[in-house]
Amino acid sequence: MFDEPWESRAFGIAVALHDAGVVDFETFRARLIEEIGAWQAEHDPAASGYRYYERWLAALERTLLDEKLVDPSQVEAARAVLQREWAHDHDRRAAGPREPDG
Amino acid sequence: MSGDHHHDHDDELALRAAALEAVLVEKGLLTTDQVDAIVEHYERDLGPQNGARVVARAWVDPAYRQRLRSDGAAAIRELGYGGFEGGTMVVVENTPDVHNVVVCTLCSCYPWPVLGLPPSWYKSPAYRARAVAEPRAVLREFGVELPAETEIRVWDSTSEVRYLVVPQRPEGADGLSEDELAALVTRDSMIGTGLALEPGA
Repeated sequence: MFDEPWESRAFGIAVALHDAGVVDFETFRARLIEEIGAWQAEHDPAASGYRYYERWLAALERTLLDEKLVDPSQVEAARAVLQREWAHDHDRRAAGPREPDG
Repeated sequence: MSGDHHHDHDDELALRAAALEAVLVEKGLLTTDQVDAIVEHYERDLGPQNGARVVARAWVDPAYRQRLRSDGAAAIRELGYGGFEGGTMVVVENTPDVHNVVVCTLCSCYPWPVLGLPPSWYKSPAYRARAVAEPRAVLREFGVELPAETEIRVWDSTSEVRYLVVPQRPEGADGLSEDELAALVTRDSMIGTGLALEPGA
């Protein structure tokens, strides 16, 4: 159903916003149709690389910015924080498991 | 394309999704629990097993079949399935003369309450383009070979309407219970890219 965990988050965010009455799903769907159409305008239908939830995520970002529900600077700031956290987690994992008493 | 490239790109997409979620949570527009609950609901509760129950009921109960024809969503709600993306359901029935196939050429709309989330091929640009242009060839690739005289009707979903195909009841299914019949109803048979299974197959 979802190939990657982020796909399920992107899906869940859009549906949750609709359920909560924050974003009408039709507003989102219009962007989704545009994003899919834009990809198709530049690619052959048989081309590889199409990922539905990548289009979904792009549509979600545009919807939230267009509807002024989020601010680009807020998204940038959140992204920078997450990027540092994830890099830190990655370094820890790369260092390998530690001995329980080490 | 190397696996690493794919992995890096997924990291980037994951970061974008997580950044959006973090801002929305911070602003109080949604909670992580709400998103978790939706993902769990779609992964656990919704799926073609729901649609299969609808089809099996239609096979055994002519009155129910009639109600499905006249108001699909209402008849589907009788079995407890409904909600988001199931608002207007049109139920189309396969017969020896007519075979129905469902597609969404614009954006991969799909009847979530009865079929869950769509498979990858349903969302692919190739299926969405070719199902309309050359349905018979597409069906052949799915292993469905129809007699030349069978008419193929392709239904293109819109934001308002979702379609569910009632496949033909297979021969030799007399005497089976409704549960046993439901087990013959595959996801693809309700999209029209497959047929119901033969009993004992």
